[in-house]
Amino acid sequence: MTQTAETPAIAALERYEAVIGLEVHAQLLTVSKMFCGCSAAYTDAAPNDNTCPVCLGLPGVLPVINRQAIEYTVRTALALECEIPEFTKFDRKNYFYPDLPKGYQISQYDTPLSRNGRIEFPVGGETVRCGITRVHLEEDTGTMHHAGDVLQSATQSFVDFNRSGVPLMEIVGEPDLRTAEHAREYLVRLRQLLMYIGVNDGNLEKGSFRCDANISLRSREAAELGTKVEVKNMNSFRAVHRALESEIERQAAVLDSGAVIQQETRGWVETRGRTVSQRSKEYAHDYRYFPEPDLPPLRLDSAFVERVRASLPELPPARARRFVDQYGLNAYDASVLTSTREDADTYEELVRLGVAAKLAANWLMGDVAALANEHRLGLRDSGLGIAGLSRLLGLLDSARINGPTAKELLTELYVRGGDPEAIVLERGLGQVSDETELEALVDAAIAANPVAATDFRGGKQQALGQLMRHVKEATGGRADMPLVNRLLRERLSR
Amino acid sequence: MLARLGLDEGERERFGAQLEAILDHISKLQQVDTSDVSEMAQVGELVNVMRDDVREPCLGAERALSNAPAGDGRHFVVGAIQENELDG
Ligand SMILES: [Zn+2]
Repeated sequence: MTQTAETPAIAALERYEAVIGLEVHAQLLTVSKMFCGCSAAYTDAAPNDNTCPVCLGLPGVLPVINRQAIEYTVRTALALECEIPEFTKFDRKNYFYPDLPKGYQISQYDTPLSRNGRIEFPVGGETVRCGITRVHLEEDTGTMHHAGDVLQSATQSFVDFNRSGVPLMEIVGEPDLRTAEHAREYLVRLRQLLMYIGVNDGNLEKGSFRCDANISLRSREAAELGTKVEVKNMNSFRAVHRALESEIERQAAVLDSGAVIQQETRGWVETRGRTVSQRSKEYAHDYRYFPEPDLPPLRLDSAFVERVRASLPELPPARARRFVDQYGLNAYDASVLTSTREDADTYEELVRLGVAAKLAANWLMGDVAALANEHRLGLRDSGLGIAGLSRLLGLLDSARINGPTAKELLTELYVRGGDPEAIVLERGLGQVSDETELEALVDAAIAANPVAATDFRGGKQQALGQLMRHVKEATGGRADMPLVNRLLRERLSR
Repeated sequence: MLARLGLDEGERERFGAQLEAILDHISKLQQVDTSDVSEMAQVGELVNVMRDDVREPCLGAERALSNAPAGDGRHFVVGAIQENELDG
């Protein structure tokens, strides 16, 4: 924790222990909605175009479960090491709000699709382990906006049901997290995992990946649990971190003053940098759950579960460990290269094409990552492509071109593509690594820079730079510089 | 839906008595010994009724809104919901 700046929240954590649990709602990447055939791509359509009697909650309709949504949820549950009970059913969660056309949300109450999982991740050198209470499936609500820019003065609200009925997976974490940093890392890892297994697009700003937190403080001296406060409206990792720090600070101040924490829901207000009480949700706590009569229950047999398990890709932590063992990478490089499935696949393809493991890692994390970012274009889809990069790095590895030439070619060919070898031949970019040729240039450099040569002989190491530059310029930047370095040192030590 | 029905005083008395009778009738079930019967969520035998993840035609906003009590041609319009934010 030495690198973390001392904040009021961190100071408060010396007196109080924070107990934090997160609930994540993640929309599944299905083509159609949870219980009807309407398109789930709710932002692609004009308001209310993606609706039908089922997702509008009209009387007399029959919902039917989307098989793919079940499979995605089971896939997630297995990736989080959950148990999958054989029996699961849906329930009605009853409440009234204009974005919920039926007056109830189809959700899962006492028989969720899965329970008792876990996720582990590193935070500042320690491994944090967080239990997963359950992963269950429900449907998203519609969306609302209000007339006028100030909510309080609005007289009308406008409802769009395009999002109504989009499959929504709820991942409930155990209250095992102790700092705002833990909470942020938990979300980073969970989002990475969901994207890795292809069930969610991980967009916090657009709300396809949403997070609520429960947080309480307890005195380090006393054993009793504190009062829980629910925090909502956090739509970035940074917001989660700031909201929880601010809430730790607020609760500590309340407790320090001898007052008690109110059990309530608070919303994070980014512009004010603090959480604000949301009284309106208070009434809504009795949801009168009962089994959904329109949906027969599910019995997921072990053959189905095992088939889904077999379809899981190798997950990031395991893949990073394998990268260390198999390719001799350090843990940091391995974790960077496995942070998305595409990056990890690209790396392995490059190695399979014959590029040395460490060389491939350095280039992918360095120059290639910078170009991908600059052009908003991954290597796989770039003009150069994975095969092109492997040819380019092959020229470098066999000393046909030097490092600077390789970088120039990469920048030039990244978007437009082309055969690196043909360009090297055509422009005479081949590296000058002929010893006899370079020895002559080294001699010329020494003759042209007598002061530098004398200085180096006298022990001034930096003087070598001027001599190296001379040879580099004489070859148009194509000299094998490590070789030039060696030849210069040999000549000058005589 | 039932919770939304407006009732006048006479209807309230009439339906109140009827609902009372229904609840009385149902409460007879409480006398049955169910100690060794496991809970069930449904009376049918069906399980695993699912559909493939396939897109089907939607209604479109115009038809979706055609029976709405209030709309602006694109949205359902309702009285404003006050999300009271209280400082604290
Ligand atoms: Zn629909």
